[in-house]
Amino acid sequence: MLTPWTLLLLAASFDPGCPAATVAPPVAPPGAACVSGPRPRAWRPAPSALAIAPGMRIDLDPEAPGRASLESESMSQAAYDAAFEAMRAERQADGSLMLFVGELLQSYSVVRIDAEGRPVIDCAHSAPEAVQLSRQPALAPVRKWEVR
Amino acid sequence: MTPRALSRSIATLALLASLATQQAAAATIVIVNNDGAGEGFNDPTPVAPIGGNPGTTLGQQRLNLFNQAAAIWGALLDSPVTIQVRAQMNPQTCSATSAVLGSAGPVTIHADFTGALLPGTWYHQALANKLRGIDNSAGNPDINATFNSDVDNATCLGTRDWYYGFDHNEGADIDFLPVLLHELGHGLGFSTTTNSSTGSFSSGLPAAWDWYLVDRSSGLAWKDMSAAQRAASAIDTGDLVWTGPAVTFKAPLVLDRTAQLVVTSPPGIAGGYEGGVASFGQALDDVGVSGDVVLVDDGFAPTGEGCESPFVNAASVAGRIALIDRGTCAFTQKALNAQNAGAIGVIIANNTSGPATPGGTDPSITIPVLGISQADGNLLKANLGSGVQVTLRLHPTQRAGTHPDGSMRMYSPNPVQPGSSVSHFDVTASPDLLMEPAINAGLTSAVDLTRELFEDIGWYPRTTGVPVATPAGLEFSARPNPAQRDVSVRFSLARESDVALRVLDVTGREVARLHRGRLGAGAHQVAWDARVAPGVYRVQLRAGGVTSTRSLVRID
Repeated sequence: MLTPWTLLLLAASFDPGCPAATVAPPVAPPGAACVSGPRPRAWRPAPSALAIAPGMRIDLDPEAPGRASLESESMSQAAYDAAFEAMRAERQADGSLMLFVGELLQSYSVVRIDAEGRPVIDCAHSAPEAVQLSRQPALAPVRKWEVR
Repeated sequence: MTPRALSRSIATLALLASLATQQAAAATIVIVNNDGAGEGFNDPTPVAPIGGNPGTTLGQQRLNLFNQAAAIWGALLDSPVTIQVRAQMNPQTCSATSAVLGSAGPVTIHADFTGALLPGTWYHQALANKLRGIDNSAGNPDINATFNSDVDNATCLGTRDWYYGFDHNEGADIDFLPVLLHELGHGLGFSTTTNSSTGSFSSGLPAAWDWYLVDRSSGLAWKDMSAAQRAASAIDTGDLVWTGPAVTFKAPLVLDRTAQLVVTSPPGIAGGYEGGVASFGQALDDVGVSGDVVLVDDGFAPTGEGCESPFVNAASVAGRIALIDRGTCAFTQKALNAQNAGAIGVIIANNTSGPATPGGTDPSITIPVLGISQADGNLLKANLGSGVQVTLRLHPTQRAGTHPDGSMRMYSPNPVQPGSSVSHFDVTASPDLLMEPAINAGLTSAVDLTRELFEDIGWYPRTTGVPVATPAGLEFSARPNPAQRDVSVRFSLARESDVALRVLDVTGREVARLHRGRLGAGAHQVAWDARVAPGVYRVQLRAGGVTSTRSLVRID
């Protein structure tokens, strides 16, 4: 599984000087620069803006066997926010803009079993929120259809 | 199959049939199996077919379920560009009592492409492709979806597993289909691309979402706010709304009327206050229940929680409306204690911020029960010395989940809740909606107001505001569906029209005539007792020369 950080690194590995190949004709003119797909290349250090992000952890081998832990593959809210700020749009040959967001705009479903043994499923809009949610008691203070 | 599951299956089939008739066009959504051999979608563990899912291995059932969700969204949407969902099922965080079930979202977002409806605005890739007519990023999937394969293991959530059936007969397991529909909905465009925590735009541009997300406190749309204003707006409970015309138009047809606490005395606090009607007790109506308010005293501090019976002041409570604080014991216990003391109604004041809709089940409770906010509860208590008289009733016009101005409320709790988001409908909506932050038990495969929100952001040509009828026909609904009795038919007219509303059986024979005559512009509601044999019927609405029908399933 690709982690947010891996995807960010993939995004950072886009080569802005690459020849056009993936923009579907006929909208994109011949020879137009670039990039609408990831072009992984040799590993390189993460951009400095990411490397200094507080609380950041990078999993470079997410496909390795074993359990992937949300805690280990995600980040603090501050690190998430820093990664969010570091995203930069790319101008395409046709003038449009593309932003590779990787997993930063993923929405997460979290289930918690409440005191009555019922599954309570909530949705969170970032990995840090999902982690925080999974650690809280099943009944958040503001919900409907609680029994007490 | 249980009756509930049967009903929900029928609802799903009815939905699919309805979509098939209403949407000639469709989108192709392809699930790209991103799992390796022997795991996830390729898990060879033998299983028995279940709930309409014919798979005979665990992997097949998983993939079938993803394809079922893709078929539901694909029937609803319309795009000339195939929507690719890169999907995998991998072990993720899980314990005996909590788990990350999975995630989904766009991989790229796009702005200022040919066909974009709004300038300088981000669109999720699938929608951007639809609007442009070609794939904006052919090298990337439109949506990435990862779900937790460990849920099927005993080490995760105990004996509770994923339920891979399509019929919502999940029992104690986790019904996968609505969870997947919900998260794919986000991936298709039901979310802002703005960081709701900091208020920052993605790379400096707003989302299409942010044009319709308006804070009634300031009157500003998110696209016009500063980042700090957006961050503050995200916790402006009750005043953050969706102003898209399609959702606003359709909401009265989908949502129940909300409850209202009307204070008639003392004059200083007289007026209407919002309430949430309990899931138990007497149903409210237009007249409601009126009486003096008495704060209960159960004799044990804090004495206002009403958890002990008999009340110390039972004699004062008798014949009046009991005011009780939320806390310690179940809402049903509080209401039952008040009923036993002779109360004619119950108001439960929240003990934290936000809305309060008392939940629970107890058929022995026969008095109406209403939840109110903590602030309103404090206001009532402060005025008890002057004698507080109230009426508990249905609000004449406002719908549950809407702002008093009729626009749909978006979830914006204060203090902020983990998982809170401006990218969900508010939790006060009733009935429950697919895209609330809580994926509530009882959700089926229906996509309710999500379809209209997708219209607002550009998935469909704008169909609201057209006189009397939209290109898709008259806007109306017949609920519940399936129904045992007491069907409510709701419709809106953009102008005064001659209206004929009737129910036909499968042969076209009229079995009930619900209305014939002229009606004014606006929302209308007609009740039908559904005293007909179980079967499939068609509710036909004719107005202004336009006819539209809805299928309705009558069950025992």
